Amino acid sequence: MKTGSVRLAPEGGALEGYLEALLEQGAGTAAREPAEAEAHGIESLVVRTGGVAVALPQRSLEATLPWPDRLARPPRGAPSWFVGRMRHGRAWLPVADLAALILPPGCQGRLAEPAVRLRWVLLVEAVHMRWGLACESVTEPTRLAPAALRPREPAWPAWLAGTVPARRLLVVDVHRLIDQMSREAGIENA
Amino acid sequence: MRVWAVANQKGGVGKTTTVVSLGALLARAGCRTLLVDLDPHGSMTAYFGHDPEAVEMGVYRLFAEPARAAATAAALAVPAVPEGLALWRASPAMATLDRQLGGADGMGLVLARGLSGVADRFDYALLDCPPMLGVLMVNALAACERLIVPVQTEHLALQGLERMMRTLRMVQRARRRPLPYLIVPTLHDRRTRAAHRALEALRAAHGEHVWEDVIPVDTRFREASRRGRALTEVEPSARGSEAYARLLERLLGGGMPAAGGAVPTRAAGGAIP
Repeated sequence: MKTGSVRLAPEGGALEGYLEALLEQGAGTAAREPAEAEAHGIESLVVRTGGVAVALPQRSLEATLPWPDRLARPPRGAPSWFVGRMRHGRAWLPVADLAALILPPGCQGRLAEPAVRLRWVLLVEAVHMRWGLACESVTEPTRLAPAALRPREPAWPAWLAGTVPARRLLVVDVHRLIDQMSREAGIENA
Repeated sequence: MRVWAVANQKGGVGKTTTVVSLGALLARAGCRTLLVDLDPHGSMTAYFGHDPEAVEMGVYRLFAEPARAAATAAALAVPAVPEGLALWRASPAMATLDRQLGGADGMGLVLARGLSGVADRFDYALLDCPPMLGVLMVNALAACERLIVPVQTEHLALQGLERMMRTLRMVQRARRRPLPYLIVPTLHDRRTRAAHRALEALRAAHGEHVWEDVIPVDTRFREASRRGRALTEVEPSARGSEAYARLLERLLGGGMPAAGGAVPTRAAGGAIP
């Protein structure tokens, strides 16, 4: 596993191009409302990681924890985004580097060592599964207006619930992200 | 140290402006004053030129290690202008504290414990509460000895006030001691009939708990906030500044009617001339 290695983008502006593709307004998409959007908006927490702003619905968040002093190593052969396990209460919580997880390899730019770069861990939970998502900064609590949301499109990654083009935000579907992490890491219960 | 909370479950009613304005007046009068930003949006933190996103935990640190809150608190304050003013900054990470802490025992007293750790360093602590009922507001209401409720003199704001009053009654029962409170009409536009009607309705519904004066609409508040300074500091003769000076005089001198008919308390900390 190459956790924490410095990676270079193969070409400048790859991240920008990737974001543009996700954020540009597609024809006829602006007025549609995602099924999960409540009439008054989705309370979310915006975090920043790997140069992108990501919104996570508050109802999916159990806690925001400071990056721990110590991490237990991830299992041998774990995906590179799996940075280790942190102590939380009596459990060892698996922790993912959110940027390494959601951005395509060519768009991750120069990611510094997790221990240097990451400052917060967001605790997310689905049925029987708990994960920590590590990021550089927690930006703001916000309410996403349904009218501003561009709902997900079939070609997008499964974890992407939608985007808010006007704010250059990627909105995460936490349950799908947990599914993806658990599957790729080979963890059934955490 | 005297602890006052400024709270209303409705946003945009002038909570941060009230805290900053009163804080600067207290500091100018020679009182060591701590301003505490409890709103995860970090409005007051940003007011004083700090980026909440870049804050290394701030007030969150108290809740991350609640057992050490009193000891941790000593390192939280950063100086603010004018001299004598200090700030505990907010971090957006505080937004998940409700889920995080849930109903854990003693979590409503973390802030009180933290403030006790700096009680000898400050004469006053003013708490800028978030606009929602949660663990942060409960902490503020448990820690304070006075509550100031800014209310915009506008129909919808009056409806929002009722939620705050329900919260207050609930907290009063849990505290087992009265919490004196004063409702402060803010953003009052004397030129509109609607504002007058709202003010009349406010006084009719809440009587002696409503301050007899008002904080007027004053565009200079916004200009001062852009400069990261309190209007009461940079332009003491502005209409808004003078109104806040009268409010402070009322808070310090006249006492506030206590909820439930308790005897009004008079603030100590006689450093105000």
